Amino acid sequence: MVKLEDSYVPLSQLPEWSDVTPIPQDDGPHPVAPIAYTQEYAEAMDYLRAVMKARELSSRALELTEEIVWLNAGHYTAWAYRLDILKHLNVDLYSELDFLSEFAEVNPKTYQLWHHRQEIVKLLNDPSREHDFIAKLLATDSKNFHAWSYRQWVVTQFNQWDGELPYVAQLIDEDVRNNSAWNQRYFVLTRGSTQDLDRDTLRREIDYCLEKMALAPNNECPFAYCRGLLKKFGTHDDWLLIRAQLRALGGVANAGDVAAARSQYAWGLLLDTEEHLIREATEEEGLTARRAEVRRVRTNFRV
Amino acid sequence: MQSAPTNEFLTRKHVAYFQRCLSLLPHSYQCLDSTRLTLGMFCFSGLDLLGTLTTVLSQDERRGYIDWIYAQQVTAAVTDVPGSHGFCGGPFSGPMTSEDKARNHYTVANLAATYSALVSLVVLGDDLARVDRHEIVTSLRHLQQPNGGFTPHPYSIECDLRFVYCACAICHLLDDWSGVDKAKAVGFIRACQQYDGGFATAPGNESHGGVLVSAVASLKLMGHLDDDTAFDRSAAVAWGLRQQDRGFHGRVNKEDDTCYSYWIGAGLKVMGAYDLVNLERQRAFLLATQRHIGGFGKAPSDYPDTLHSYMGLTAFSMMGEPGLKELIPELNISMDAYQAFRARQSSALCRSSPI
Repeated sequence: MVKLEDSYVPLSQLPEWSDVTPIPQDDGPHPVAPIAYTQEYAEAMDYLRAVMKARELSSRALELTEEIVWLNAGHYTAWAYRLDILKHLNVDLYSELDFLSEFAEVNPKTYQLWHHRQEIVKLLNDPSREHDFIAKLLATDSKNFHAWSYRQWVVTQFNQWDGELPYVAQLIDEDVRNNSAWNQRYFVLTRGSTQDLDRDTLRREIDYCLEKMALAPNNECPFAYCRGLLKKFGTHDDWLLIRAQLRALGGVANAGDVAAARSQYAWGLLLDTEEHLIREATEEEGLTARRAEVRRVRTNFRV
Repeated sequence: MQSAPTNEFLTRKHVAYFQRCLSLLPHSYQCLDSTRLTLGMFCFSGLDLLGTLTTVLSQDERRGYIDWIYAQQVTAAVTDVPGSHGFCGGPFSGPMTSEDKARNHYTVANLAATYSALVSLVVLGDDLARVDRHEIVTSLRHLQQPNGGFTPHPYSIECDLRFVYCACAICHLLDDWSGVDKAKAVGFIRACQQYDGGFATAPGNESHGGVLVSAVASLKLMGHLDDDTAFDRSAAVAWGLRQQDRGFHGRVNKEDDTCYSYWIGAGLKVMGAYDLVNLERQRAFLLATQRHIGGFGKAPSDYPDTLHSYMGLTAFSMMGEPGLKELIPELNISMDAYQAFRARQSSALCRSSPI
């Protein structure tokens, strides 16, 4: 065992724990991948096992769970136990939010933290602190996967769609390669894939993509986003528009010269566009038209 | 941690690395204390892929490890909380191996641990005879959510694709799908495919390479890989391929990371598209994350860790590195270990069936 902190006082020396008999870890004769625990963690766990087994819902147990999750943020049963204690003791849950905000700054990528917070906010039925909390963490790491996922829950659960699009636009302005923000843009516009886009919005989004493509042609985000929108909501005219614009992005009228833009993503989207238009033509105009299209595309791509 | 890349795959160093991890991990792994079964699976499967499991571990040691794994089984004797049966990730929650398996409300199994336990047992040469199948299958039924996804344990609201995969692999290894509503699970997977063709951990989230294999392996195990209504296959393949720079990165515009050579590579392999991977570039990246002391780091400047070491190894297996066993990508078990497991099962069946 490794002793880390000189200031560490063993629980066994604290009078408030004197009535508890700690339960040591039972690892048997052939432990698989044992860990060289710190003395602090090993002892705290011995006491945690004792109070969890007794299902003691007390404030000392609450403090112990806090100590445990600081030492092992992913301890999911300690988090579950903590939630039960909080509910039972009827403590001020806003102070739990304060603890979680502090905890998140050190452990922003712990799954349990985010789900625990979700449970607390559900109990409070008050999301008023959440946007600032999330924004602060995204300011440190604008691609924090957990923060974005949690943000989607808050926005959906409390119907806070207003203001989300300007926020996302701001993050994309700050970093056009932030795919998390692009994903959130899709999420907001489709209300979590529950709504269609109206014509004006779709055209506006295509224009938005084209602007961002021109800004950084080797950035996958606007191409993937545009393809996704077109596949789901695009009409024939929209696909024709994007074909013309992609060719223009290459600075030339011939599809084969898009390589001039040196963007594999532009190439990829243009190929998908051509393929889509061929498929559409097949369905609408029959075989003759399809043959003509294939000839035309082959010529353009010099295949 | 810098060490000059070598052009060689360091077989013997990797064997020693997994042996070390199996016998003692430094305290930096404390944050993974509740996932020791998974760390163990990486070590057992790592040694198995390297072809050394039965030479570096004696039969007694393997039996001892098998017993330790079974000691983590959470049965009705431990708890009656619905959805809590299967395997716990380690003895952290309460007494496990002693006689005192008294009821403990907070000792619950976790789908990831149950999956890791079954895989480890298969690899170690067990026939799963001591697994309480009925309790596990019943638990699965409790853990599947109305949207088709799964949570890992009964106290969790963490419903995502990773646990759909664990559920599917568990059902496959136990040959019992009665705990899973397949149509709902397929619906959940479909809802997780994002506008860009990748899969998100849960509907609406950003596409994440970590769950590409979870999605397509689940579909394969459920017999829905060729179901055009289940997912857009070519979009998924294209997304996976676009995440290769040298190695693979898990999300668009992020840095390459050793583990995605498994998560995305195995996903592409399940979809029959591995021949489109640029193996030369991937190999160069992985040789740069390989460490002289054995194992692989996440990136070229990182210390090795158990997960990335195992994932790096699986990538070399999928690339056909000589001396490494072939991997079944949808199960993450070597073909050799899996076939031996099925052979043990059928011979046990012959012995037990009256003629």
